Amino acid sequence: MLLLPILLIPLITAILAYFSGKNAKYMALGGSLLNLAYVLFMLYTYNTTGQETFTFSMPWLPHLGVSFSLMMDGISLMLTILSSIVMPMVIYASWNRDYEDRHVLYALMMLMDAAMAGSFIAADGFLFYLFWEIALIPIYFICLKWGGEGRQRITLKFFLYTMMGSFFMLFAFIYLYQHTPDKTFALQSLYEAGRSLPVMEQGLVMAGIFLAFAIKMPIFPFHTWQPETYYIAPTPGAMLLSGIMLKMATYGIIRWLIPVVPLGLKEYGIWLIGLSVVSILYASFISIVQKDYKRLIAFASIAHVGLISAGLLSANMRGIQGGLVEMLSHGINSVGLFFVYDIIVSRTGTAEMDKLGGIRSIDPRLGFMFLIIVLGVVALPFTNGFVGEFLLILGLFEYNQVLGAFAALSIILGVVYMFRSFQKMMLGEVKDEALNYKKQTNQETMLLLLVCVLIIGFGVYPKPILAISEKSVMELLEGIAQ
Amino acid sequence: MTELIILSLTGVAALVSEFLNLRKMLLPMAILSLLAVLGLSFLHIGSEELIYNMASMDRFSRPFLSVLCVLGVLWFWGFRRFFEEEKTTSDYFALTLFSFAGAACMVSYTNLTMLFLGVEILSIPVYVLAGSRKTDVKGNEASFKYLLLGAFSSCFLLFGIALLYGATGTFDLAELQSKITSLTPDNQLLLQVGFVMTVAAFAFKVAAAPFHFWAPDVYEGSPVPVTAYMVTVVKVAAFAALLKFFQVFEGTIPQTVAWAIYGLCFLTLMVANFVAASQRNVKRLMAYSSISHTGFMLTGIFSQGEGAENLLVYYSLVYGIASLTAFRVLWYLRNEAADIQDFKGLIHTNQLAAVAVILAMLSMAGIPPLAGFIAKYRVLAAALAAGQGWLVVVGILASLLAIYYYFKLIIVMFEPSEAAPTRPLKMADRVFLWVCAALLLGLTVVPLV
Repeated sequence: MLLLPILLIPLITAILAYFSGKNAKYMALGGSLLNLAYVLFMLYTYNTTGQETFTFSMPWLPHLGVSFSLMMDGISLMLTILSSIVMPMVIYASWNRDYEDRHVLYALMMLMDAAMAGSFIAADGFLFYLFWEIALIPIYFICLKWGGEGRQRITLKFFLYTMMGSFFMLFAFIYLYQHTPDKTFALQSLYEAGRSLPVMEQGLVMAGIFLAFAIKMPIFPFHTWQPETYYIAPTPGAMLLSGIMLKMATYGIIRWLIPVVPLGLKEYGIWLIGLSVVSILYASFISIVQKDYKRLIAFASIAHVGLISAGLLSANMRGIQGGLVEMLSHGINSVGLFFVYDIIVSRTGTAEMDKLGGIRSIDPRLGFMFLIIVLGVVALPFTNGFVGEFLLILGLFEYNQVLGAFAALSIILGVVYMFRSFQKMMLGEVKDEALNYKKQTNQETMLLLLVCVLIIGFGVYPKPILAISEKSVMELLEGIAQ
Repeated sequence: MTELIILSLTGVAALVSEFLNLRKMLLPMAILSLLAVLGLSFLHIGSEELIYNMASMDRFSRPFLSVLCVLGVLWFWGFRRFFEEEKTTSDYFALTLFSFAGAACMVSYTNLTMLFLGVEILSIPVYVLAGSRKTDVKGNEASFKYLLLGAFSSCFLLFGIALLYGATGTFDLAELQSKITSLTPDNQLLLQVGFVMTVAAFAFKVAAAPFHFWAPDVYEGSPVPVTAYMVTVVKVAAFAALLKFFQVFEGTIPQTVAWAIYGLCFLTLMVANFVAASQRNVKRLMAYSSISHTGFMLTGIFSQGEGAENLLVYYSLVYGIASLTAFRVLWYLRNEAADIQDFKGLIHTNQLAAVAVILAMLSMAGIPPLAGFIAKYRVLAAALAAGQGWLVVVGILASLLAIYYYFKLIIVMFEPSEAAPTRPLKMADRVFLWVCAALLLGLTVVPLV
């Protein structure tokens, strides 16, 4: 029962926001803060009662072997915390921007939040798939209605691409379902079915499921939809896409890939990890030559998520824990990076880095906070990025030293492209486009400050975060070791 | 029995009403009689009634009859202006109700002669309705084409039934089923040819490729309400009859014939979706989309066979509601042949209509959480359980293509348009769209079957 509000609060907020017209933003922010409060209450219960999992189950489509069952352990809790922290920030980021039909925008955002939260706590393969797909619909319409030039073609490509990937996942799930002893989609039954398959078949199932995740994250060579979509997406849409939505895929790796096909992963996992590492290097190099700041962030996101994917797939304690922490920090940092983009574009109308310059001398506050976010992204010690990336690379190193070494290059490359963007936009001479630059408002400062506090706070004292998921990850690893 | 009597009597009453001056009563009467049949079906859902060994109201036919009634009520409700516009109101009411009675026969037949009668009673009024705009060339073409090809398929049906009779010496389904296994090789051959002929006739009726060529022209030429009637009530009735027919032969269909039918599914899925992707006329697009759904339904019922009733009932209901929604909005935008551009900017001019169409399109494309997803999922799961993995892959490909053309319509609705706001929808029509939208979402959460 404790789990239902996680779905219901955003859902009800979505409906209320739709009907509250001009006050939609207050409604949405209130709802998302209430959700955050509730999740923190869950965290408190989790820490104090020592109860390891919360479950909820209810029959739904019995003849199809589907039940409406939810489950939350430390891993799910971590992701739920992420989405409930990021959501109010995304809403607050769009506080003073002009969007047509705001009530619809906020309703869609909250709807998406509900679906994403659902995918983080689903304990039934079919249900996971449903939430996974439902999350896609609001973001499609957000990008279609509020997006930039060429949105029709780009959003359709995005939708078809991700849809195709998820069909493969569904296909793999149905295949597993047919091998379950009790003919259900329940998490444990699918685990059992997956583990009973011979190695070769496990490999195929793994490929099917991973394809869906690889497209969503995305990983080279399935990334072609992503830079375009991020580019045309309105700022809140881009924040949702990279802040929360891609975590559905990385979470999926932990919950719906590693424990389902442990043998397949052991046998063929090196290929997936190899692909992820290629993806890191590829995206990093492309980031370096980007002229537009938003495209740069998009490719940087591919690089970071490639590292998360590689670390998770190495399937050891450090890799998975690092992945979880990195998901959290990547979500927060993404919001920060896209918000800086939004601030600059709302003043100058462009994010082309060659046209910008010297903003720091006009608005030193923005320059300072942007620097902290950049440091978080490049994983400087004492920022949140460091904890995650360090553990990820350590985990990957444990798995394979060569791949680990290549993945570690990502940090150096990250410094190159992030600092380059900082340098071009913030330092140097003030260019024409930035001449009439207005200083940031208090609302903007507040949000950026919050991002900076989270970046440094998690970086200095990451222990409580690591502790949330520790037990669950251990259990998961014990499960697949058998 | 009562159900059939109610439907036919309402039809007769509609004819008489012209000189009794009861024209205004027709719409409530028609809807009430359909609701009465729906109520009866629900009330007696578990019981069985054999009607003179020709038809039976049982666990098979009652759910289908209920679906037909739901779709019928929605149709009368949504398209009631179709009757107001015409001078010969009562004739059209009578024709529709008679064809509805034919549909009721088709879902409940237990005797092949009854099947044939049902098909004819269903089809002949629709031939007339298709040409109800007498001055319209395309309408006349549609009507004539439908009549000719309908007659053609009736020949197939009769030929098939005759061969089946020749092989087994009976029209009765139960008796026929019991004799299938004990036939001499010669009669076995007769039986198989008869089976194939009958299936071909059905394939004409449900517009499965390669028997689909009439469908786009007929759907395009007929008035929108009649098209909506054809793609919902007519198709559902034909599918229910086909399923019953398949179930008689369950387990005795030779491998080659089975492959031919799977081939039919494959061809229908591929042809419909590939051609639909290049359509610019919304009516033709909807025609091909309807053919693509034929492909899915055929796949589902043929791979599952025994026990596929629930699947088909659910699929028909969801597909029917989505189609009615789409056609209702199409009719509201424009009475006749609509280019895809007619939907331009609909989201700005009429939000409710646009959202209803979006939900209908998402449902037909099979995207969760719309009911269409569960429907398609059940079909593909049935195909996989029957060991036809390749057909599942084809179905998935078809769904992806379908997303492409359904979304073409959605994207157009989001384009800015300079056109003045369209005339507002009447209250009753708004409620109609709300109900359809709620059903499309609600049938996922509470799947009745």
